[in-house]
Amino acid sequence: MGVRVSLKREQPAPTALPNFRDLFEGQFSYVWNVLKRLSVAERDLEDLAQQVFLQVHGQLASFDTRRPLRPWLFSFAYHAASNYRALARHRVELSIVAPEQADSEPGAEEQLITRQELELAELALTRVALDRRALLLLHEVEGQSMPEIAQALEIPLNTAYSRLRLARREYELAVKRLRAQRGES
Amino acid sequence: MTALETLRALGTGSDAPSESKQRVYGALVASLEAAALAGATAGATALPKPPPSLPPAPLLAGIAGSKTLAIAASIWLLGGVTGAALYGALRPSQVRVVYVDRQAPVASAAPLAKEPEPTVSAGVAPPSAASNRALVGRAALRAASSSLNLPGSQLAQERALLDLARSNAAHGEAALALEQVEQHRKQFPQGRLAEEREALGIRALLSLGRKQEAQDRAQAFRVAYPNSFLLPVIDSALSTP
Repeated sequence: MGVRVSLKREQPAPTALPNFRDLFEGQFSYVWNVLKRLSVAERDLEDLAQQVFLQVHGQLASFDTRRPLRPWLFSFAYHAASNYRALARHRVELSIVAPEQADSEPGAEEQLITRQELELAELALTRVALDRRALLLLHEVEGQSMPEIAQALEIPLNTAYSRLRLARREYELAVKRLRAQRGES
Repeated sequence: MTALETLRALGTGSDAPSESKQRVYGALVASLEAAALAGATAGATALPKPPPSLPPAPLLAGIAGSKTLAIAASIWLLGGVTGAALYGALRPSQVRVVYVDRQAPVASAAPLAKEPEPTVSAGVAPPSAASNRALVGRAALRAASSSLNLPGSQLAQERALLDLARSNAAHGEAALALEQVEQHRKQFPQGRLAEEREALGIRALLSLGRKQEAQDRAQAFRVAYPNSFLLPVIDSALSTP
């Protein structure tokens, strides 16, 4: 089974602002995959990624270094993807993020099952509404705290919890339906 | 494994394609540079609005009778005169920099003394395009120096100098570009285009192979302009072997 990446919580003490180029180097793949998981079509990913990093560049000076970087970056990607989808809602495209490489090397059969499971999870994610999907990605996939998520998405904490509950339900239902379509139990 | 457990196992995803990363970075640098240049030049010379448009000719062709034609012509002339008068009255004052090749005052010529000044005698053509560009550049420098007593045109003078430096850099005349950058530094140490000047200077130094100096200046640039749009451009130039 894939290994979950545990993200260290940033220290509350303020640190130096990250250099933009280092930030781009280190976080490009993260932003790329977030955009993909927020259903940005493959052909538009580069444009949207550029748009996100342009905004990040413009706002970098105001970044509070006591906060974790990724929810902050996520909020840019989320807003870019929301606007994009508002403009291109007639387009339907399925975009699945390739799962990370597992540290251990399981047998071929086990690996296949794992891969299928992960792809199913990615597919089920696309069935969850965007605003609720953001909660699943930040909390369940990345392990960010709810207060941090609420702050990054600029929503009240209660709303964040409420959306998370709905998101979990939507996601589990999507998984059930997909499994039923595949003839699984 | 439950559905949620699988979700938690997804991780943040694999690496993005490196070619996409490079393309995005390239586009990003170009956008930032364009934005920086646009920001530097915005407001310097706002183009005046065009005068009221004249009535189209086909309308006149369709008018029959000399009286009607005379009335139409009068209206047209009156409109034109009124428009021109309004345009002249309301048009914002425009700064115009004229480059005149004349003898430089001693004080402004001094900073250039280190560089070999090409001497051109009457009736003798400049020996090459490069030296011709050098002469034009110096003439512009002198013109910019000689009009320093016009405070309203300072930004235009700064731009004129840096435009020349940029043009020379683009034509492979890095030494001349650097000279103009230094001239700008002397004339406008706290100029509004100082940030752009420093970035240009760093790139000129790199073109001349003076990498250590370029790095030192880049370090100073980072301190002076930590949020500059031009930082990625400078970093990119420094990292190019």
